[in-house]
Amino acid sequence: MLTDEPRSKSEKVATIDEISEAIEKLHPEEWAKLRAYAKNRAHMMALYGGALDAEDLVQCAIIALLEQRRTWNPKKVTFIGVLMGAMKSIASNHKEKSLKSGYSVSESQLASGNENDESETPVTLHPDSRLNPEQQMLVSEDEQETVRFVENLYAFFGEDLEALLVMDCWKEGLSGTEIIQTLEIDRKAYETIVKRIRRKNTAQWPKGSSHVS
Amino acid sequence: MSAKKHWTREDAERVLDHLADSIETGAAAEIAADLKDSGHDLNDVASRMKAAALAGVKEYRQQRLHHARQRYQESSLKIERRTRRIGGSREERRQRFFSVIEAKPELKSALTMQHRDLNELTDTDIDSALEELEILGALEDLDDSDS
Repeated sequence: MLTDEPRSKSEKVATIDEISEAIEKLHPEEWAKLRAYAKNRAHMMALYGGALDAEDLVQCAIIALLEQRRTWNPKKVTFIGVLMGAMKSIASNHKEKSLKSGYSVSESQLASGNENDESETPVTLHPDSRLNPEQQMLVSEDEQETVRFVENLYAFFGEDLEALLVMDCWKEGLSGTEIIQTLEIDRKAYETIVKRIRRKNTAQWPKGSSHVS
Repeated sequence: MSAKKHWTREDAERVLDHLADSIETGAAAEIAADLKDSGHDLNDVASRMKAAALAGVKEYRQQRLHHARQRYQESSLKIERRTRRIGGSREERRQRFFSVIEAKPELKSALTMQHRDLNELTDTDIDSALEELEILGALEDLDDSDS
């Protein structure tokens, strides 16, 4: 079980040897899954000024586990499960820090302007005042690049109306169950559409490169 | 489909979050197959990720080693300073003790509560008084004022 809560005496903390052994035991398919997840979370972090790639993120997750900031009970959760949990936590902590520091501003805090106004995006409206203009530009570029990445993913679907509808629902903040009800489809059909979107997302990765874009 | 011209950061984040859920619950073999089908080299992906994970282990080991070395150096320095401050011959230690008392007369009253006459202090008393003065930082203060 992954947790940031204080540990009870009975909770087991993984040793360096156990973690090293778990790393050696992972299969290429499991590394592929981890990479997909790491890349996804790195993209999410890039929306809040993060500049990590998938490999950086998995490295951070391993260190967090070894520093015992997170516990791992192998009987309850798999090694990739604990690593994905650690990456999820790192990404959400990054977002929280970014919002708290005033670097990023949440959607609700943004002034409601004309949605079709192309002149300014939330990213360009709130650059970090502590960065010099060149750094601000680079950070904003990373954020906009990630937004464009998702926009391109959407555009990829062209005539696939089902996928476009599901992505529209995601965009609006609907849950899977709500989407199933709204689109009047069953869970299996929804999951098939989601897999299609996931596959296209993977196809968008540049080959051989480890950077998030 | 989408009425908005622009995607906001939050729109993109929601899509990424749903994709993350799908990856988390998806079968590793299926995700690996998607990767291969889109022209990625599975072995290359696996070896780069494994190398990054092992680099995390190595970094942690180095951090620990660095901290242990730092702690060792700090404690060695402490011992060295302590030896320098309360070391020396019996006469030197006695002399050092009285120098401190002279420089800090307020300590004298505390010590005379235990020993009516400081001249009656034995070598053992001097040693334990120096130890106490060292803990209180009084010897360090004296060294600072000397330098």
